Amino acid sequence: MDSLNDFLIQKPRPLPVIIAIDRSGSMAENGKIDALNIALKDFIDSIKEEDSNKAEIYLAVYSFGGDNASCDVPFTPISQVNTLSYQAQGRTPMGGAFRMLKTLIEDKELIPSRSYKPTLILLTDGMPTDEWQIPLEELISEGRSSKAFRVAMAIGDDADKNMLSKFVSTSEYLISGENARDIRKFFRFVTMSVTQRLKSQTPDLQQVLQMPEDDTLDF
Amino acid sequence: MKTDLIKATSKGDKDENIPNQDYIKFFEDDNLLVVTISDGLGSSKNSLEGAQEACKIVISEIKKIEEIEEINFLSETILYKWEKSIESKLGNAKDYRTTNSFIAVMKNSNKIIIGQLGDVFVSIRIDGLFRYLGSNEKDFINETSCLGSGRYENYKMAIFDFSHSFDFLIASDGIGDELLEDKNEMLHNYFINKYKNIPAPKRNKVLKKEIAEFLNEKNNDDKSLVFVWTNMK
Repeated sequence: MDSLNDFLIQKPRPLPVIIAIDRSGSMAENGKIDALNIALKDFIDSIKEEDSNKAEIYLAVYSFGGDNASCDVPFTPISQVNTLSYQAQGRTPMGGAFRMLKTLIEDKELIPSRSYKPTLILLTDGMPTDEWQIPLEELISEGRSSKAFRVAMAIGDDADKNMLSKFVSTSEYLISGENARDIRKFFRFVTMSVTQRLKSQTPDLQQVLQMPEDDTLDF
Repeated sequence: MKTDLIKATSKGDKDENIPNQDYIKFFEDDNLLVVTISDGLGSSKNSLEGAQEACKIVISEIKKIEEIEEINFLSETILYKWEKSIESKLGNAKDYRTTNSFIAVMKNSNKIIIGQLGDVFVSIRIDGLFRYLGSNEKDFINETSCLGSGRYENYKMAIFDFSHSFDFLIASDGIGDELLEDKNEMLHNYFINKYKNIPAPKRNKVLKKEIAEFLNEKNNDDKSLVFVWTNMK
């Protein structure tokens, strides 16, 4: 052993970003699922380009639709994440997704205590069709998951804004959108939030961010 | 008993107008050796002052100990004295929040006292065996218990006997959180074997250079480290 460096963890501290996406049938209307797929691809590409030797973004992606929730990208360094694409169908089993998010965040093998606090992102245009109250309560009120920064987008009038207002960390982290265009705008917002944390001297201090103006977007 | 001590502190990568909020203090005479590190919380504007105050009170209170039983009251006394001291200053106790750990060696009675409040890392080997203080694991990186939190928090305390030798490391979380757990013993050996061969007046400078070279790129935290070992010559 020649230097102090031989006794140090060589990987940067993980900065977890966890996304939960609604892929229920209603997302097929008005081009929402297509906009989501493009926005998700842009988001992954953008944060892949960000570089820091003090933190490394890890991404996990969950979705809910059909009859159940699923883990589509397990907790993975962003550099190893491939683009994914969704098709909309079925119901909105959001409670199942809350359970899976909780299980992931509580797992100290996957997300070690050396990690920064996770950013948890939820996007939906509907209301949960499964049992969601207890899983949501456990996610936001108990254990490590209660400490995550939680951001959500409610798309359209059918989204359950009461439920989403409970989900988010603070009221300014609940974003309302009307259409497919707003989905891309939301992911720009999320990109800014994540990259700001990555570059911040204090990544765990909650950032107050504004949704980008339309003229700053590159559609 | 002769001991050697190396120490270094390095400011994290942060705004120029924010000071290094870590603080190291030690005291040694024929009967007693005390080493303490405080890590003022970055989110508290006067935390360096809180950190300095914690170190000063720790040493002052340990120097007053005459009977080993008095250690039972040490945690509460330190907390009380720190809060009283902060009350006399401007602002709220939350502006002065700090972690603190200490190791005190009572040379006459061959006892070692360890106190830990928050995530200042402590590692100790006594008579060749590592002693563990129990888990101090946190949920995420920048979480810690501390003085000034407003919650009821006590030092985690331990007392050990020693017969002939000890070596210990105290480090703020900017270093402690980056250490490989399974190489702890080798790290102690590394410090002893490397630094015993460096002339004493140069040791701290070499240590500071090592921290700057290998640790400053790891995170933005301030970084402080003290390593002490018994010199068997």
